[in-house]
Amino acid sequence: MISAREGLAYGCGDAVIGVNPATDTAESTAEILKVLTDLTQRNGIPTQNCVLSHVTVQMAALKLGAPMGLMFQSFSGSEAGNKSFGISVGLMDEAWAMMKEMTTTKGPNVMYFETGQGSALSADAHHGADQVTLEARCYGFARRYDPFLVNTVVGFIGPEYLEDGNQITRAALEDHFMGKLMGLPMGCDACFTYHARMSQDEVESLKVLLSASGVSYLMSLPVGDDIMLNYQSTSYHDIPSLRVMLGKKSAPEFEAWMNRVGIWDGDKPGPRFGDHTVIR
Amino acid sequence: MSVTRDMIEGLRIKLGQNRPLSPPKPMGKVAAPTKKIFPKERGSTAYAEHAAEHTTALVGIGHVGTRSATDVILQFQAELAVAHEAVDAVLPDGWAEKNGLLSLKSRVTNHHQFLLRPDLGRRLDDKSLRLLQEHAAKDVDVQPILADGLSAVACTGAGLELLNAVLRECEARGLRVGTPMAAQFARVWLEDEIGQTVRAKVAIILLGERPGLGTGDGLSAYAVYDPKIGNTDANRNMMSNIHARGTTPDVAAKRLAVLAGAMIEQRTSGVPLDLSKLAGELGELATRAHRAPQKRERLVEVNR
Repeated sequence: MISAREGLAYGCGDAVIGVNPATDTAESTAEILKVLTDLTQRNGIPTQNCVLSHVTVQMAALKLGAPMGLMFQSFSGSEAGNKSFGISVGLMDEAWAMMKEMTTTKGPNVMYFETGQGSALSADAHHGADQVTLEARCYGFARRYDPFLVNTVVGFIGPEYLEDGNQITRAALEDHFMGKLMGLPMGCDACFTYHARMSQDEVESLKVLLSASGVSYLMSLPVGDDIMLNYQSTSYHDIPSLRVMLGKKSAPEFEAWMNRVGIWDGDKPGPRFGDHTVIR
Repeated sequence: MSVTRDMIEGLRIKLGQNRPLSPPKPMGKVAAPTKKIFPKERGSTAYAEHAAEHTTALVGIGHVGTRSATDVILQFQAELAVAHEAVDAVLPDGWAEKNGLLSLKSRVTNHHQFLLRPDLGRRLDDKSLRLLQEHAAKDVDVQPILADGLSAVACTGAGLELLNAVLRECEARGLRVGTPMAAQFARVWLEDEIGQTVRAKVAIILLGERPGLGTGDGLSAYAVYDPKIGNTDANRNMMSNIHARGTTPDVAAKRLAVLAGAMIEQRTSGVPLDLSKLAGELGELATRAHRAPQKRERLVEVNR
């Protein structure tokens, strides 16, 4: 919650406020969703919530009456890879149908998927195919569910799949291109693990490249430091920086809210920018 | 003199080369730099300190324009350097022998290959396999293995202390422990081949974990019952965050000994292992879920 307030104060969170839970149970998932809903309703923030637990846990949380904005699941590029994630087409169909009925989101797009090159190989489920082909298959699978977001977590698995800054940059742009070709709202977690040869300068350049090429979504964390999973992602400060630098806009309703409370002022930071006290 | 040089000379005289220099302008008084070198959001420090009691996420850090302040950048770069240094470190030659440990190595031949080929890090090279067959105690209850993993810094740091504590705690519980050993360029699954070779009931590998920002000294322990090549992570129980600021080696060793005892009693490990009755002795190790955040060290101090 501390982190969510901080991010909102920097104008992050127009697509979704997501929580990666330490405990993967239906009760804790439902609890986190309720707390996030309280936060956004109390402050009148037009956004959605999501807890990144396993899809079966989220289904159980829905049955407990949890207010869920987006339903999350990681995808792999082969049937065997998805089996190692504990999912199948049948299960995802069921989850989607349930979500369409029970979500708090008004629009038609209620799913959020994460992908990333190498997941099939790490589960020994690649059948000899290369990781770009398998990644493309993830997007075909994702399209079936008309998602709100698809996010490629590009540098997460480590150097045995993408060795250095060049490879991570190339893979991020490949993924973005393939996803957009498939008509998906493609986002990217521009990130690296500390044992991959990528520098902070390279990952910041990648964010500019992705933004310039029209990426739909970038996630963000305090100083880009994922304290649970130990890897380096995009910072809260990066999002407003990219918006100002490249003239990018947040979602219109969210931007209206930011202007109202003073976090934003037209096309630049407002008087309350970075002030967490504005989030009550 | 050539025509060109004459022209240049003429130009220089015309431009005033021969005129005397005017006296220098007096230097303006340069104001002393303000005490507060790096601007911070007013009131953010108290909030940051308060928040730090609940999370290790860096919040309440203020901003300059839309970017982070210089002190935050310096702190970040120092922490990143700690992580990179831990990843790049390699066990010194002869380190294991010097510390009285049986010295083993995976099939990896250099550090670069270690990062790119996890599969080679999961198997012993021929020489190590022979060494293990000829010199290690067989048919033991618990085989502890110290290894570098992704941080040799952690291995040479608290590693020995942890290994010795595990040996001591296991023996105190009447468990027969194997020959103390250290493995280089090792991945977690290397414990399967080692445990299988010495016919151990339980193998526990203690290795440097993937470093995070500012924390390159953490160790993890992975324990498995009936170690054999082909086991997966579902067969293992793990404990992370073992270092002075997290779970101390002493506490970790006690819990690992209890865990090993439970595995031998129930003849299984990983997902099927029932640890519900041992919650008091095992702490968060019993839940398989919660991970306490690591305490962040301030590496860079700045004037305020």
